[in-house]
Amino acid sequence: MRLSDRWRDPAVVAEAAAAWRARPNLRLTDLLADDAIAALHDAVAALPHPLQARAAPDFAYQYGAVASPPEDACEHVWCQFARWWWTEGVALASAITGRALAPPADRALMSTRFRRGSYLDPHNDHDGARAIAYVVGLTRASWPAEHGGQLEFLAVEDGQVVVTERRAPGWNTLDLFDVTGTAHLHQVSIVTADVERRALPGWFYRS
Amino acid sequence: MGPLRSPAPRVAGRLDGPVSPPSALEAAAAAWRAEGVARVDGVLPAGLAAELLVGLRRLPLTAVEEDGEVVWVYDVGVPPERDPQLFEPLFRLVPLLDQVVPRLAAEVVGRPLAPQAPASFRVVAYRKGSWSRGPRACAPGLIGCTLGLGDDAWPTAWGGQSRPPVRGDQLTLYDPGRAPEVPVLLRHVERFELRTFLTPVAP
Repeated sequence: MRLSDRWRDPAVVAEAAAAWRARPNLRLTDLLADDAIAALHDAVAALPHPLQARAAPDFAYQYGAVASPPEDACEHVWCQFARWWWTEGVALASAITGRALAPPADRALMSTRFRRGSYLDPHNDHDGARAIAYVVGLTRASWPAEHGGQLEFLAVEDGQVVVTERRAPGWNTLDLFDVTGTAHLHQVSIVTADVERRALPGWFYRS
Repeated sequence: MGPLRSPAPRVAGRLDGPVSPPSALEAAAAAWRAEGVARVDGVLPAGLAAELLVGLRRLPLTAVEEDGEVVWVYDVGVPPERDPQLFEPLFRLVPLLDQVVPRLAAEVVGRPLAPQAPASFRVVAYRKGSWSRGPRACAPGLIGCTLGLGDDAWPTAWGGQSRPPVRGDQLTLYDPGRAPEVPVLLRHVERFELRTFLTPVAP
């Protein structure tokens, strides 16, 4: 598992760090080397993603997901990536954000699959321990925003929830955004078509 | 097709369930032949759907993703002997599902039918994210039965309803391969249905 040449260039990382300081919400592109992202996608797509769902009035969502930590000696691409992510991935995110970041205590990596009907209602991820939310994009296809599956950042203006930024599902992308406060509302819009959004979402923690 | 509650002859001398008049069944049979879908109103005695909803809304439903749909479900089996500790409306529902509905359906589709799984049914709820193109996982040759509960209504654009919408106390018979499509429900509203299947039997 390895970064693309682009993200091995200190100057590119420094440029991203400057962008982060200006606005702590970024999308990086061309994250991994081509063969690495393809292998990761194929390995993840082969895993069962049981439906996870919770209905209103609780915080509501519906999507397929799988999560597990890497096993030390396991050569499955999932384990290879997870071990790499919780070391090299954390190092890259720390370099960009200027924060001392750490993996979650359980080192569990999560994969999600959004299909027709999937959604994630508005939330801010804040729990006092999470520092940075990340989303590794594993979606090759693209589709119109009205078909859903978009990562949407939200704000409340005049009592109305408005979308301030909408990000389409990405391929070989890394979204990073600050979740240390309670103001970073976001959601994934409901999928209304026969499309499939795949991603590895999670959080880096305060070290 | 309007409300079909009268006349209401008793079935097998022990049920209060209304039976649809011949003209309604003829219309339903014509729809079945043309579309593989037929609707019959007023299948339950007055008030039973509302009673059932009180109990069924509180069941611990599970979201399931199957070929052709994502819905919330709970499978109910009703014991053969009346247990006063269990939710009483269930014991009035089962004879309707197992006797009245197969007889109505047989008149509509033109062949004898029997419950695939007597004394049982699936509670199906549509909640945000639910959709259906029909329960495709069922065995071939079955007739699907959906009994609407309640008349929860919302704008068509929110999805979660077939066209025409399933109404409370309405029986929908369908060929599972031609089930009415239910678009993705976009908002936090919900509606409940009961689902059973009928299987052909020898005359």
